[in-house]
Order: sequence, then C-alpha cells, then structure tokens
Amino acid sequence: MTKKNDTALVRRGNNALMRQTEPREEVVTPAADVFETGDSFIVRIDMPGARRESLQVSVDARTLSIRGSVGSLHDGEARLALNEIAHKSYYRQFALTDGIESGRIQAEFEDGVLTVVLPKSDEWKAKEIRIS
Amino acid sequence: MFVRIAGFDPLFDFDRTVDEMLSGWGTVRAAGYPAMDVAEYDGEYVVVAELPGMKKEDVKISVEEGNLVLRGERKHYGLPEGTKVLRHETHTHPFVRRFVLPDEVNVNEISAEMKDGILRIRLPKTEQARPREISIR
Repeated sequence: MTKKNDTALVRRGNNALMRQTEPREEVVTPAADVFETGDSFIVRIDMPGARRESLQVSVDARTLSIRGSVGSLHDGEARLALNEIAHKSYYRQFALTDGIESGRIQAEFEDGVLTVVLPKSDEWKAKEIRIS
Repeated sequence: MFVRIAGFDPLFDFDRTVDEMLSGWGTVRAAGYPAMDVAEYDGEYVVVAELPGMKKEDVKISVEEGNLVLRGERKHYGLPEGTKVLRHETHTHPFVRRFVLPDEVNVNEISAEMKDGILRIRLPKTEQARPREISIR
C-alpha cells in the first residue's frame, strides 16, 4: 500500500499561545528533523538544556505537541558578559494524519535532543509485495 | 548598546566584553553558532554553549596562545535505509569559537562538563584575582 501523507507531520507551533502563560520566558520554536520509515514516523527536536521534569509530549487525534523549559542556566549572582542563549522554553506542534497508533508513541531525551517515535498502524505500514 | 556581530568563526574579545559590561554597556547579545553565554562570578568565569545532539567526544576545548578555543562538529545520526526525510532543520556543520582569556584565569584549573546538550566550561580565577575581605585588626 502506498501512503499519501508525506507532508502530514509538519506544522509550526503557535508561539503566541504560550507567551501569555509564561511571560518571563521567551518561547522559541525548536529546530526539528522529521523522518518516515516503513513502520513509523520519527521526530527529532533540538531542545538543549530543557529540564527533564518540564518535558511534555502530548497527543490528541490531530496534533503532537512538544513543550520543555530551560529556565536560567546561571546562578543568581552571575554577571553575563556574553548572552546569546535565551532564557526560554520550547514549544512546537505537528499535525498528525490518520494511521498513527497514538497509544504506542514513545519519546526519549538524550544529549538535549527529544526523539519521538510515532508508529504507523498496521494498515499504513509499508509492505513488500512479493512477485510470484 | 555595542553589539558584536559574531560570524561563523568569531574572534571574540573576552576582556573587552567584560569591560563593556562593567562600564555600563549592558549585556552583549549576539548570534553565534553555537549559541554561548559567558558568566562572571567572584571566583570564576563560566562559559556555556548549546550543543544539542553532541557528545563530549564531538567537542574539543583547548587553550591556544591565550585563547580559549572551542571546536566541534555534530555527527549525523545514521538513518536506516529507505528512510524518507520529511523535514531537516538541524545543523551539523563544524564550528570554531575563540575567546581571549583574561590574565586572571587559572588555565591549569579549567574544567568542563556536558549534560543534556549543554556544555559548561568553568574557568577559575587565580587566587590573587578573587575578591577577598581584609579583616581590620
């Protein structure tokens, strides 16, 4: 079976929504890579410094939402001579299509990269047709 | 406010930045790759870099001619054959960043650690450079 959902998994998050709830933090849209293999979609999101307890991966029928907060990287008495890293939280959404087994979605956080694996339901998996 | 534009291989003048901060220029905010912070404390400087997807083996820190030099390259993770790339936004290009070290840094005591994509380099000041209180007899 072929699939028609190549562009399905991508939609930019709406940053304005989060700004209201976290006024002191800058909300940024983290960079992401999205792949499709025969049996799943894989999303890899750069979230350096995100605190593990702040990470949220949530799914409803249409949307995968990712959140995570870095907070401050410095102690209170630090005097910043160079400041390129924002005091920030990450927020991003991806639109989902049919054919994802939302109950079996898995996520892990390693080296500041959040990896989410979204397995395809059986009928959407790539199948090899044997030529007899 | 004086803003330094950091390019791909910026030569960043650590001393001047600190001076600018002390003289009321405010905090320097520029865009380099990787994004970095330099924080000064009474007893040390702490240099922080965002290095998502990198392990400590992917990064090299050295002191060369009075500069702190950070080099690295994010290795591309392997993908199984037949994988389709739907979106690719992350960087993998190599980088070099340099900072002129203030004299007061004790070069032999520099240490670094990586956690969750954040590199933290600690540069203790020499004993003479640390603020101390003089007791009155």
